[in-house]
Amino acid sequence: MTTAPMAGAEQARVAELRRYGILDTLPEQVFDDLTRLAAYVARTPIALVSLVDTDRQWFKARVGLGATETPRDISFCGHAVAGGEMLIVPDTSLDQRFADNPLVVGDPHIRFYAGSPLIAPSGHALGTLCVIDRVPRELDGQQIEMLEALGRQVMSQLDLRLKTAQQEELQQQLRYRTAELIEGEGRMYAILDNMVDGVITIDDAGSIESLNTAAARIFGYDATELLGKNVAVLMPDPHRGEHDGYLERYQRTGHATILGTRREVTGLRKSGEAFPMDLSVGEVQIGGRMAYTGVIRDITERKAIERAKNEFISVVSHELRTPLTSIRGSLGLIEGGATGAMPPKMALLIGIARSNTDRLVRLVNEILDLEKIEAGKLELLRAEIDPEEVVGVALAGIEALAGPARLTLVARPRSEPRGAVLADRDRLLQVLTNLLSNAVKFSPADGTVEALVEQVGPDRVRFSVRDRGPGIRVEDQRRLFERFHQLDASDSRSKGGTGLGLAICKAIVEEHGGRIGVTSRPGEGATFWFELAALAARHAPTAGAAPLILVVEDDPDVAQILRTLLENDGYRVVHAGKVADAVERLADLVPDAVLLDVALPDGTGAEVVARLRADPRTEDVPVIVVSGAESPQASSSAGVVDWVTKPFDQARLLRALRRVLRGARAPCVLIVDDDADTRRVLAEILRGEGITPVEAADGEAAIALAERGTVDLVLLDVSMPGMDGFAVVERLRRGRAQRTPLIVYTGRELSLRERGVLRLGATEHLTKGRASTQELLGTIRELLAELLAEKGPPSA
Amino acid sequence: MRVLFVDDDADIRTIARITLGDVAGWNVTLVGSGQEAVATAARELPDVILLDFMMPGLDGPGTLERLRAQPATAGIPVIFVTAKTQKGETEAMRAMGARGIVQKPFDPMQLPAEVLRILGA
Repeated sequence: MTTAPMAGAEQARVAELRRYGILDTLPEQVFDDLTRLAAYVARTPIALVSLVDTDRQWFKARVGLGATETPRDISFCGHAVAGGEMLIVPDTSLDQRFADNPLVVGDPHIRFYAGSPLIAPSGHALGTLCVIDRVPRELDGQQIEMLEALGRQVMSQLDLRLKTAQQEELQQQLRYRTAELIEGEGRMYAILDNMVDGVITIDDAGSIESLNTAAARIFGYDATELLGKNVAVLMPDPHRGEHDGYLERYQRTGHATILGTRREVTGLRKSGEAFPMDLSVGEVQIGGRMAYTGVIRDITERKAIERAKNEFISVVSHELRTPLTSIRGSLGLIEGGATGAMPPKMALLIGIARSNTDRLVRLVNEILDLEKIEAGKLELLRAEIDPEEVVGVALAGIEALAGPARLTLVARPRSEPRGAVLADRDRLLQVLTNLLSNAVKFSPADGTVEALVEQVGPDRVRFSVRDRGPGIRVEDQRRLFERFHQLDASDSRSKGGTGLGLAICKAIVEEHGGRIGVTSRPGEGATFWFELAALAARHAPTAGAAPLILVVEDDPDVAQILRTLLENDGYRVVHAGKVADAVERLADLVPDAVLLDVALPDGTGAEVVARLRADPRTEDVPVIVVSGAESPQASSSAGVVDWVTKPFDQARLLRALRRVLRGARAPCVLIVDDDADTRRVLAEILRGEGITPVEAADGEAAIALAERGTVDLVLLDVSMPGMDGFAVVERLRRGRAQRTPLIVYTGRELSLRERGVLRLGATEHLTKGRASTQELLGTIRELLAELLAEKGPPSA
Repeated sequence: MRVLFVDDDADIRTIARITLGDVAGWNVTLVGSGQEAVATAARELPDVILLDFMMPGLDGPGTLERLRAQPATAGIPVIFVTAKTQKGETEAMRAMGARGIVQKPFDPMQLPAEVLRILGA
């Protein structure tokens, strides 16, 4: 017996067979019918659809045979499969390949075999359609043809079956995938629809592509109503009309103000009601097209709460202060003698009532103060401050309160570097005054209160106030800085405290980035201290810093007025009370200008001028004399560029100072407008007038330019994307440009209130399109004229 | 000196009458609302108007706006008398065109001097 050889591609053939997924399946009518047909055509008792597996042949359909499979090595079909064509064995006993085959010599005693191979489209033979007889026989040509045709039918049925199975599987996958998608999308919609925030997607033309339930609810629409509509319907004017322009400009220039940020804008409900909302916009690319997703949060409620809180505070401050005004007023009039003389006991009681009213007023002020600080609304006007000087002012202020307490100022040693601090002068004074008044209150009669300023390390300045009072236990020290915390209520109340002073001090110091604390032991007094960052010791004005003015004036009141005036105008001030002080100051700093009194306790102003001119660093520093004397005709005025007589006109003094600091350069006008064409036209006009234009396309740029301190006039548009004119003015007012003349030049009609807010120095409001170029130029000339008027020194 | 004092609180008006009238010896007219202030100012043309900031109806800023709008009263200096003390608020008041600000509660014995100081500055 010969076992059928296996083709080299046997593995691939078996794999192909397995792919059909037919092995060990239940009988199927179509294969049974074809098999019966084959037996009928060949007139044999046995017919099979045999599939040749790795080591068996398995019968998908059979006629006249009980077995469902037989081993492959004794199979006839293995030979047919290996040959790849119809195999006919007329008499097995005469064929040496099969003569001793167990299927021949034993059951089922095969004597005749004919098998038509089942050739798959891939070329592999998977098995046969075969007919078998127990007697030798022949097949005629027609029978062979029919058998081959039936074999092809079996194969095509197998193919059909495979394709159906494959399709079934694909459809199954599709069903699974669809279910997954539906579930995923459903989950996403469920999430989106249950979000509190509204989500709206628009396409690159601004049409609404999708929106969630919250978005529809926020804007008061049915979701379907909005699909396909331009998103501008959700915006009030003027944004409604401008939105297409924004989108178009963004797509053209890539310049966007809102993308990637969260900002507060106004939305428009279907009812026509405008409401405040937070909006953040992102962009996505979907299939080559841009789409934009807006996330919207209705903040009506939050704004209402904010408003209610502000209103409450405003009402509290008003409702408390109004009756207090009457009480304080009545008591003040009685105490002041408006109603005639009082008996001493009555005067004492009225005094108590009045001082407690004052305390109540302080309390109201401090509660509001603290509220403001804690709400982060405290605006610090930081300037460079000489710590020693500010301590001196605080001490002078507290002296009246001190009464019997003797106040001693312990100054730091001269050898230490002069470290200035950057702080809000009023707030710093408030802290120092509070600590000093506490120290005075808790000092015994004839006690000493020391105020000390020292450099701690290279970068910190420590202010300390030390008393010789009863001291504070360590366990109580931390709680001291809490609101309304008083160690001994009866004691403190008798001193008129509010319980908020230290809490405010702490808040102010921390707002400055500093720290505050106390060191004390019972019976040994207490030292309250706070530390602020020190500025590096400075020998010359730093570029970009506010101009430094040396005020040489012996009268402390006049000096204080000058200091306030100049600091309010954005200058830094150093004061010297006499010639020697001035000379000492000039040894380590170069002022940008000097305001000089002529008559000084230890000499004359001329000596200061001489000192200035003798040093190459200071020889060009302009000097303005501020004197009670009229300007002399020629004497002593060498090097003096202007002369202002006391009592001086503040505006004239500031103008004079601005003039000398500006020197000989051409006047400079800052044009702030988001429209490039407008800027170009205005710049052209200004150049024609001999004025240097500087251009800013937005608020941020405008502020940066104005802070350089070289701008003589600001020409400002109001409606700008991003930071508008109001915000710009608000910021400028806090900086160096706070007194710079301003022309508000806008297309908007401004209300009187808006005009009131849009102010810097001398201010004019002109409406674009209404004011002619001539009118604009006239106004610019007028405002600059005040500044530029060339009044030479009177003596020249 | 002729002063128009505007405040909706009658007690505060009384104190103003005593301090500005009896103590300082000025000629004081008292009114209790913004509307009255606008009419009285036009009739009497006072040297200065002390104007309460927060009043029901026509408030301080509104009154100031009306005073500025009628030529006869446009130039009269106005001092706000206010319980608002925060820096931003007082700056805004100055920006509206007030000559100065007196904070409530004020010391009645110092009020005349304070008014003169503001007018002189």
